[in-house]
Amino acid sequence: MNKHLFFAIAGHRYALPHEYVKAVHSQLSLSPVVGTRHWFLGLATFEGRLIPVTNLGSFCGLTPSEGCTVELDPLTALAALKVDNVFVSSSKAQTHVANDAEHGTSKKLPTLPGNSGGTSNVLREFVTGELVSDKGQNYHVLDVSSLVQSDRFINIKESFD
Amino acid sequence: MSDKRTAENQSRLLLPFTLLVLCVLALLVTLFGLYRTSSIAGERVAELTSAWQSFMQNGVQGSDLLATDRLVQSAALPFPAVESAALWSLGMALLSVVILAWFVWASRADKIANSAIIRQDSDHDAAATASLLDEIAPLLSGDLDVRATAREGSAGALADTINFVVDELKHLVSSQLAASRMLNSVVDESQVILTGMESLSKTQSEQLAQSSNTVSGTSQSTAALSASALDVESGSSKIELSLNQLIANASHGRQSMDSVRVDADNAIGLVQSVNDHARSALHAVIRIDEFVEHTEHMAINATLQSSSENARADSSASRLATLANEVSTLAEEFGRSVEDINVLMHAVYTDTANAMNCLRRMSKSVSLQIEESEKQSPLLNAVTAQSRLIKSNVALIAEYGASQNREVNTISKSLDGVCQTGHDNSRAMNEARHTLDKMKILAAQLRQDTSEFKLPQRESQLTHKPVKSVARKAAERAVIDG
Repeated sequence: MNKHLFFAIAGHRYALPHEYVKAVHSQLSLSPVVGTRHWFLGLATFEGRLIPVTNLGSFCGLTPSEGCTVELDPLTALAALKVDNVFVSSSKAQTHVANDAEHGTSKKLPTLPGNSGGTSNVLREFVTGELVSDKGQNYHVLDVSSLVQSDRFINIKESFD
Repeated sequence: MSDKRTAENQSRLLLPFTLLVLCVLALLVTLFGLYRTSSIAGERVAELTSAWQSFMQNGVQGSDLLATDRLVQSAALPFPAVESAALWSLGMALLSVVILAWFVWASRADKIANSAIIRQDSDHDAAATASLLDEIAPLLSGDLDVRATAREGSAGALADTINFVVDELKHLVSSQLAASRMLNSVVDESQVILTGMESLSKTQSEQLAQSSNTVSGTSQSTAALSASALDVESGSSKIELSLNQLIANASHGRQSMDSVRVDADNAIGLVQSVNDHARSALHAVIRIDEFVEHTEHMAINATLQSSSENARADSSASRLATLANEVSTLAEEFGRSVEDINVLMHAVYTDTANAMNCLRRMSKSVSLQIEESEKQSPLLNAVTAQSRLIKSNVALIAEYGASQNREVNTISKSLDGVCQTGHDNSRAMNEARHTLDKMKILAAQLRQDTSEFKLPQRESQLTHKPVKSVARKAAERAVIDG
């Protein structure tokens, strides 16, 4: 059974399989890149590695994330996602397939205080359709491969449209 | 006429009487001369006798003889005078007797003549009196128009007297008639006046009763005012005491508020200190939270590391994963505790901030209240002074009210006296009415009595212009003369 790393952006809860995560960083020294989109925070270096950091909340059109940074496994993508919170799944976490009601915005997921439940419109197409239940909470499993390979994520050049 | 005759008789007696008097006087003179000369002769004889005796005792001398000769000569001198005086006295005595006889004779003749005259006059008077009685006979029937025409004798005097009396009676009757009419009119007027006075007295009594009631009401109002003033004075005293108590309480309250302000300032300092400590603790909690987060991240990273090592089936990686899970669990628990502490510290920080704001507002309010209290202190003193002034004024009002009450009582008593006087006046007016009725009856009776007299036509003039009688004129003259 795969273990997951849970994270939240603007009250939306998601899960990442451990194999897609390299590390979690509390603080990274960022270097902004001129001419990039506003959700692209810049480049960070950690232990000799150059890590492009994306603010996932801003990317999804939600409240900009203010928490830690999840560095993806280099085999998946050379990228890091800045999220609000991260949690570690317990040994009792269970994975099951979400039905139609649970999939998308119709599913009324438990939310953090001050934030709405469900998945964001942007990330709706990047979830696998599986749910991980842990400690009474449901987390949408994010298809991070599709996310990092999408044109929207790759195109960080600032647009003046 | 008889008087004239009497005068003539008296003139006839005057001459013999005068001569008699002269003769008597002359007789007296001669008698006095006789006495005088005889006394001088007696003295000369006595001197001569004494000289003779001296001769007989002491002898005769020349000088004595000359003196004695002169004495003899002087003693002889008075004797012719004595003789002459005696002769004159005798003559005068005879003449006096003659004149006295003449006088007596004249007197008898005069008396006889007078008797005749009197008898004649008496007859004349009797006739005149009869005529007079005939003339005044209508007077018995009350005719005052009679007039006695006798002019001589006692009948004339009686006629004059009767005429005078009739005139006086006429005047008296006229005056009485006029007086009765005037009395009647005066009684009528007096009755009208009395009726008016009774009406006025009644009105006055009613007004006095109303005034008395008003005065009684005023007295009651004044008494109520005095009582109210006393109550107000008592209330003012209580207010003054309350104000003094209030001033003392305000001073005590100001002191208490000063103490409260000091305590509030101290509390603010303490709460500020607590707030600072809470802020420091909050920062520490934040640092701990960051440390916990970092620990969690380290645990996550260890877990991720163990997951990647676990894929290689390494037993040490499994232990590392177990340790990472435990660290992660502990960090998670610690993080929740820190989160709770953070929430609590936020609450403490917020509560202390609110408490500090409350204390500052309370301190500001206490300061404002102290300022207001300090502002109110002179106001309370002024109110106390005004209360004392009101108390003194109210005492004066009470005193004035009591004085006015006494005066009102005096006025009430005076009104009672006036009412009593009004009642007395009413009784007196009733008595006056009775008296006027009696006077009217008297006037009617007088008019009836005087109507029996027949007055001359000019009686009406007498009514308007009273005629003064001779006696009245004489009396007035006597009064004027003093």
